[in-house]
Amino acid sequence: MESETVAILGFVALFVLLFIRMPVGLTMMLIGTVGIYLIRPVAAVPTLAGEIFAEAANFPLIIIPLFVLMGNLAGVSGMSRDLYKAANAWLGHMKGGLASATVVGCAGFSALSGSSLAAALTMGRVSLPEMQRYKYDDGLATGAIAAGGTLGILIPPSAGFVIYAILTEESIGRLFLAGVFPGLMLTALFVLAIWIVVMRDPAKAPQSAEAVPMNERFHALGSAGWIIGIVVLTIGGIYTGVFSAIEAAGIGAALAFVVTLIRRAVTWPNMKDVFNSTLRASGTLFMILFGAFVFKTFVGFTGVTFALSTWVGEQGFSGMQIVIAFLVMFIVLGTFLEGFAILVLTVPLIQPIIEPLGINMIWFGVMMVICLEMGLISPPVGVNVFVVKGIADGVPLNTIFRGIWPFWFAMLLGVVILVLFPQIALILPNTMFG
Amino acid sequence: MPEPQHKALVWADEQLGRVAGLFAVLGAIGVCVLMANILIAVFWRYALNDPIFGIDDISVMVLAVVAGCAVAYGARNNSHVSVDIITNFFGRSATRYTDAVMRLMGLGITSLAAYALWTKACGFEEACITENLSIEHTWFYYFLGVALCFYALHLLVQLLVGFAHWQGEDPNDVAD
Repeated sequence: MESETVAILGFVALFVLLFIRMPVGLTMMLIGTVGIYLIRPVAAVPTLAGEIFAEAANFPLIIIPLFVLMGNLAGVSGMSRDLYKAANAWLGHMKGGLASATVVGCAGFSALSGSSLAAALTMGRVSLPEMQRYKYDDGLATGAIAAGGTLGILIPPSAGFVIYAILTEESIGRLFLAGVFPGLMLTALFVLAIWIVVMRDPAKAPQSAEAVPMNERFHALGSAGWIIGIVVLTIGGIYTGVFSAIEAAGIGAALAFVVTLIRRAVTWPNMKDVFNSTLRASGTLFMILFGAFVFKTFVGFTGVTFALSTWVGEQGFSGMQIVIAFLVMFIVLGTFLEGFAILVLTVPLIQPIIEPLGINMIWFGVMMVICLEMGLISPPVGVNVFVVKGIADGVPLNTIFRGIWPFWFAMLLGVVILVLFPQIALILPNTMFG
Repeated sequence: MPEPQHKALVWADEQLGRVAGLFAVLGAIGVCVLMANILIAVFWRYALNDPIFGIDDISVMVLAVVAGCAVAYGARNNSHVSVDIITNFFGRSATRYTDAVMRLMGLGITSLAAYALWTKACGFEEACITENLSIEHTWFYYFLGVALCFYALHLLVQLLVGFAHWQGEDPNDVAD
């Protein structure tokens, strides 16, 4: 059988297996191994063993369990609650202020956790009862939590960036720094979206919290000092070159543990919960990576990437046209595929096409992650929406999906701004790494 | 009304739960060791101005253990990401067949991966040792093989539980 035929059959089989609920990592591992066997039989089994070991012992991946641990410790130590209280004290009295505080709280928590699910779950538990107490519209309240949670994979540390960096062999530190300004921009766009929604229909946020005196606002900010300190130290450490991104993960996790200890939250049930969650989240990512690299080797064997890049070259498309086409494709794929699945399935195919066109892979990575964020809240498989549904008893799924649209369009606007002004993403990594 | 579980399957499931607990304990210790290693490395480098030779080798090998534990424990807790669109279109009448096929294929590839890790350890590697401390990779291949074998056994039990509840609701779905 010719390699191109094997490639086509492989992709068809891949989508069929994903459709019948086979886990993404296992699907890619199976298709990759069978595909390699059909092209080069003797290489199949050794490649399977070699790729699994190579990813399990891939030094930069140390970052994954440690940053997940840091985020989980922030949750049990009450640091996330302090952050929400601080955001609430400063923003709660404004129109739609509690929803804005939720988004800002999610952004802050995202700087400690690489997981969008953890951000949505942790902040949602704190902020949803508060918004319901002030009679916020269910759609706006749950939409703000689901959308705010997506910042977890954009604002460093980000699991999405780590996987992208491993797949493209780009620097994790560079990608982390590239995510900072777009993350802040997206946070501002979410707050703007909330403001527009409430201005158009004030009934969606009929009451505001009472304005907090200035001294209490600073006191609330001081209580959030631990989390702010850890974020400044870890991200600042990477920016100034004092730590690598991997070391920042270890130091951040250790500091989060110290804070948990000081706050007397190091109890057996808390630690059990923290480490079980850390292992579960790490296991998800490692399994996807095991499968992704077997699949990537298979794609390499088929020569399909070379054929695709040659075809694109012959058509005379510009780099920008290709980038926009891929971004549209990610948004469409996001409506029915899980974000990490899109990442690991498409990057091995896309990189050989866009890199020769002179596209900056760091810039592209940031835009790709925002498109994946859109997938996290897009119906019908928006994972964050289901997480929010889990903590919002009595709120129908349709109401949550209706509530996310303003944020979805804010993300789209964010992508457009980044396409027009790449420097927003590139200025920090360029000033640091040159 | 739910059908009674087969005793042997209940027993097998309990045993898998116990082994998953061991993976969780080992994985948690591994994560702590990773954190401690980094702290020690940074402290020695900055405070004592004396980088520790080969400490990264230890971290990498501990990571392999953590990865294996995380994958096995994640399997037991249904953490491995899948795309669930089919239930929006078809009910149990279709998923009883598709789930069986999916689990059978999963069982096949995890078993093959475990076999590959045991028999082809270091197959493509020029030097099957770490860069600085020359720690042998082979045992870590074997450990990952054990983790994937656990995943295979978990899928086998899920498959059999699915067959045992062919007519009714699948308890594995409840776990999802």
